[in-house]
Formats: sequence, C-alpha cells, structure tokens
Amino acid sequence: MGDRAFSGPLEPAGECRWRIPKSYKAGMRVDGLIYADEKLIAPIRGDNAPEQVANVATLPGIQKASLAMPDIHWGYGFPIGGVAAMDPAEGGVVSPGGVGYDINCGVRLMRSDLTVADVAPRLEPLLAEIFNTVPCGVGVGGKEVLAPSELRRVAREGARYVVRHGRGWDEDLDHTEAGGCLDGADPDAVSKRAAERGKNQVGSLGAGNHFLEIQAVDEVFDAATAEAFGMAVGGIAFMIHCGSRGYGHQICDDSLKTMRGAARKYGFDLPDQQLCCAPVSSDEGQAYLGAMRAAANYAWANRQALMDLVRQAVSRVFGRPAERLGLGLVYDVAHNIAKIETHEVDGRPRPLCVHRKGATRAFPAGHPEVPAAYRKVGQPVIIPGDMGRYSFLLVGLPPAMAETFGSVCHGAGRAMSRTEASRRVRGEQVRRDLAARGILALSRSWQGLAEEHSGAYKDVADVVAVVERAGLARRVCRLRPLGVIKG
Amino acid sequence: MGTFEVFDHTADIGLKVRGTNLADLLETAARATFGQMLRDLPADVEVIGEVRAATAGGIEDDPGELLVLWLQELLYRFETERLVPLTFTFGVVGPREACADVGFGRFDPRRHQARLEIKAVTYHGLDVHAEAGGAWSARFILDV
Repeated sequence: MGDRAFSGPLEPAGECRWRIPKSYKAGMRVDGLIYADEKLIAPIRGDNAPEQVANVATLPGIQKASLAMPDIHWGYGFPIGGVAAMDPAEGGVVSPGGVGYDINCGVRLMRSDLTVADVAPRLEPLLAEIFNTVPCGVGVGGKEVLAPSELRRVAREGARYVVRHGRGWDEDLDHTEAGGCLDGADPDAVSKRAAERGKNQVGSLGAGNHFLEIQAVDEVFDAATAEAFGMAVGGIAFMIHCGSRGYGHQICDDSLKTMRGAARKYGFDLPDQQLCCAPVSSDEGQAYLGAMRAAANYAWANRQALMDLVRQAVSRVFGRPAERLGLGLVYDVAHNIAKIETHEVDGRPRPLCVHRKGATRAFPAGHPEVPAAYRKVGQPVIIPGDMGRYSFLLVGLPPAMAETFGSVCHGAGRAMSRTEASRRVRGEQVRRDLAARGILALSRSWQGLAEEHSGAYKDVADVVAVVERAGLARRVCRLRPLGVIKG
Repeated sequence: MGTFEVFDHTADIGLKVRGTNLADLLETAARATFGQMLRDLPADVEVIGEVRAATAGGIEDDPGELLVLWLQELLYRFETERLVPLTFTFGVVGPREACADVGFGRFDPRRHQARLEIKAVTYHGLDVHAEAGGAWSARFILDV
C-alpha cells in the first residue's frame, strides 16, 4: 500500500466526486476523478492511492480523466478500482498493470427457484456437496488435464467451449459479458509456461479471496428490475468469484517483462515503472491484447465450468435437474480486463482501449451489448461484499456511459492487511462467529478464512451507496450469505 | 541461515529477507515464500532437480530481477508439479545467474494444510542489495 498519505489536491467536483487537477503533477494529460463520499475519501487519501490516479493520467492517449471508483486502494502502477481509456488513434497505450495479474477475475451470479425455506433445512449437506464437488484450494486443479490443442480452443472460445461440451446452456452465453468470449484471442502469444500452468486448472476455484457462496435475497430496492433479473426476496442464488488462475497470472508475468522494454523503446517517461505499456497499435500492444484475451476467455470458461459443477451438486441434493430448479445465469462480469469499446468522446463515437482494474462494466438500458432479456432495464452489475455481511446486484445507468466509460466499483476493498487480519482472529473463530449468525463456512485453509473475515474489508454498502448517489448505477437487491466456500 | 520478516501490505504479503551471502538470500527468500504459502511442508525430499534463474542481460547487474526469476521458477514447479523446495545446494551464484540442485518434497493437499495462494512475485517496491561484510538483503511483495 502507499506508505504515506496523499498530500495533493482533492477538489470537490460534484456529488461524490473529487478532482485531482492536471496541474497537480508534471505530465498529467487529464484530470484525475475519484468517486467517493466524505466517509470514504479519508482512507483513500491515507492510502496514497490518489497518487496512482495522477500517475495514470500521464499515460499517452488517455481520454477524459483518470478515474477511480469508491473502492479504490493502492495497487501496482494502476490503483485497484481504477479505470482508464486510451485512444489508439492518438497513440494510446495498453498496460498490463491496468488489468492485473488475475486477468478477468470476475463474478458470476446464478439464480434459482429455491427459497430460504427450501434450503435452510438442507444447508449443511448442500454446502458440503458443493464443497466436495468444486475443486478448491492451493495446489488443487480441475478434474481434467487439457491437451494443448484443447487448451488453445479454450483460449479462443472461452465459455463457448465449455457449453459446447455439454456443460452449460446456450442462454448462459447470452448472460455473460462479451458472450463469454473476446474475439482476437491469440494462443500463439501465450507462452508454453502459461499453458503448462493452465492445462489442469479449468473448473477450479483456487484460493485467497476467491469464493463460492450460497446467498439469499434479503432486500429488493428496484422491484421491476429485480423481476427482470429473476430475483425476489427469499430467493436463493449462487455467487462465484474467480479468474484465470495460473494461466492468466503467467501471461501477466510474461507481458510485464516485454512491456518494461517497450516503454523504454517508445520513449515513455513514466512516473512509475509499473505503468509499463506500449501503444495499442504496436506489435507489443497487440501481442499483449492477444494473450490477455486468451486469458480472459480462459477465465470465462473456468467460471462456466464451475457453475456447471454447482448445478450438478444442487441437482443431486434436491433430486431434480438444474432446469427444473431454475438454476439460470443472471450474469457474469469481469473486473480485471482491457477491452476495445466504443465510447463517445467530444461528441464522436471512438474505439477506445478501456482498462478496468478492480472495476466492473455497467452498461445502461438500450445498449446493444446488454442481453436482449435485460435491454429494457440495463446490465446486471454484481458487487460482492465480504463473507459475513452482504453482496449487491446493481443495474447500469446512462451517466456511467457519459462519465466512466460505463464502469463502476467491483467490491468492498480491503481495510486491513492479511497479517493484521490473521493476528486479530483465527480461522476457527471466524467459522464459529459466522455460524452464530447462521452462515456456514467451509475452507481448505484456516488462515485463508481468517484473512478474509469481515473486519478485514470495508463495508460494501458504503461503496455501493456512493455509486448510486453519483448516478452511475442503481441498487436492485441485496444478497446475504448463507453458505461460504473458500479454497 | 538467513532471516526474514513479514511486513504489512493491505492486499498482499510483503517479505524482508536477509542472507549471509547471495546464495543464502535466495534460499531464505524461497523458504520464506513457501512458508507463507504452506502451513505444512512435506517431510521428505522426493525429487532432486536443477533450478536455474538468469537475468536477461543488459549493462548493469540486476539482483532484484534475479530474485524474482528465482522465486518465479520455484513457484512454477509448485504449480505444475506440486514440488516444494526443501534443500538447496548452490552451484553458480552470481549477480546475473543462480543455479542450484534443489531437493523437493511433494505437496499433497489431502495431507498438507496450505495458507494462501501466491499468484506472482511482483516488482512492486522490489529492493535487493549487498550489504557490508558480504551479506545481502531483499524486500519484495507477493501478489496473493
């Protein structure tokens, strides 16, 4: 994290908006703009993450502003919670630091026709069945090892590959960002090392802050949109948070080596070497995008495979096929990604390279990329909280398109280091505390559970409140955890 | 044998490591890293293999790059073969290359408890330098 507080200017710039003027730092091409309220801006300033917002504003081709969501905290080069869009036609760059190691880390939400009354008496066996079905934990891979040719197909086809192999429904793809597959993935740009790491990890959850939860809708804020999304009070849903596993981590590792040299080659004077980058149109930029898309597609395949495993487990416990349990995919969003998207700048639509690092796409009603089933209401935006409190489902609004390239926050953000968290509480105690509140937790690592306890995270309700007050997205419903699985 | 301590970082894990020489630094950094990842280590060496890390070259030595490459190589062996480094016999150890025969145990998730998953060794805040008397120290952050 930043080791000192931000001492630069944070000028109030409207409801829940703070501007870092581009005069603050030499080289800033645009202002910085942070979305936060009075409560959140203090720890944001204390983390020094605004300095990183200012640094990102120096990158070539950046448009409108260097943006930061209310869950912003210190990252590597880019802040976590940062959004930056570059215009390739103006020499705009792509930066692996603007995506992160876990390429297409994201969240998937599956609804059901089950209610709390259905699940409560069977929560323990249901959670156990899912825990024993979904591979999770350090050093634990998926149930199969993919041949190199199949792994290449996964890289090109993403979630489509998994559905084509009978592990999903066609409508799952309609309800996944980008249809679960980015065009332009280039398996040839992926190293052998990344392929080795990824060949046996499709359909595995991993560990750390990745999780799988059984949740209940406990409050609806927007009844019409909730109905469109298939959500109602008392309804049971399943949330999966996971990414591209070792495949994506290695691709990021590989790309950083290339990009460090590229930044020198193109003569970029970077305030932080971790902003290493190359022009989108350059060989290095295209190679990174090709590999990054392969990793993004891998992550969507992974979450599709994980959801299929959950469907199977739930089906076994309730003795009915997944279709008859209404186990439909609400949506799947990425929150670490770079995509070429068309956005309006100075009155003209322009293709831009949009980096979202710990930020979620939030397109409004009417946007052609919103699934047909939701086009009248807008795109579902899934914002996970910590395992002891709640998560939220939001819907994208038009001001997000105008201001943030259709982007909002991605979660709560940590409030405490891992070492501090595990000093304060032990994993076994966390499990007992959760159980006392009616939340069952199963984990392969007690320390992992301790590091992820509620006190280690900010309150996601505070983060979501800012996004709503700023007009970027609107709360649809809140989901409370009943069962938690961590690796 | 070197020493290490964990320092606070909001989202990830920071390590400060000190070794009596460069080889000791690399060994201690490896032990510290795997100690963060695993609560239980395999008891016995099952496989001995060569681990080599070499920087890309350039005008100046870059011991930080060497440390990162060394740890990345060990993490790769863990992720692809579940190998945990237990013993180290260094051959070449220079500012641009390190080579060691490493005795590995095999991690079994059914028997060994893990702590956390390390996604990467980062360059963030990386600092590796020689100290007086031949000792070396390093500071690095693991992305978890």
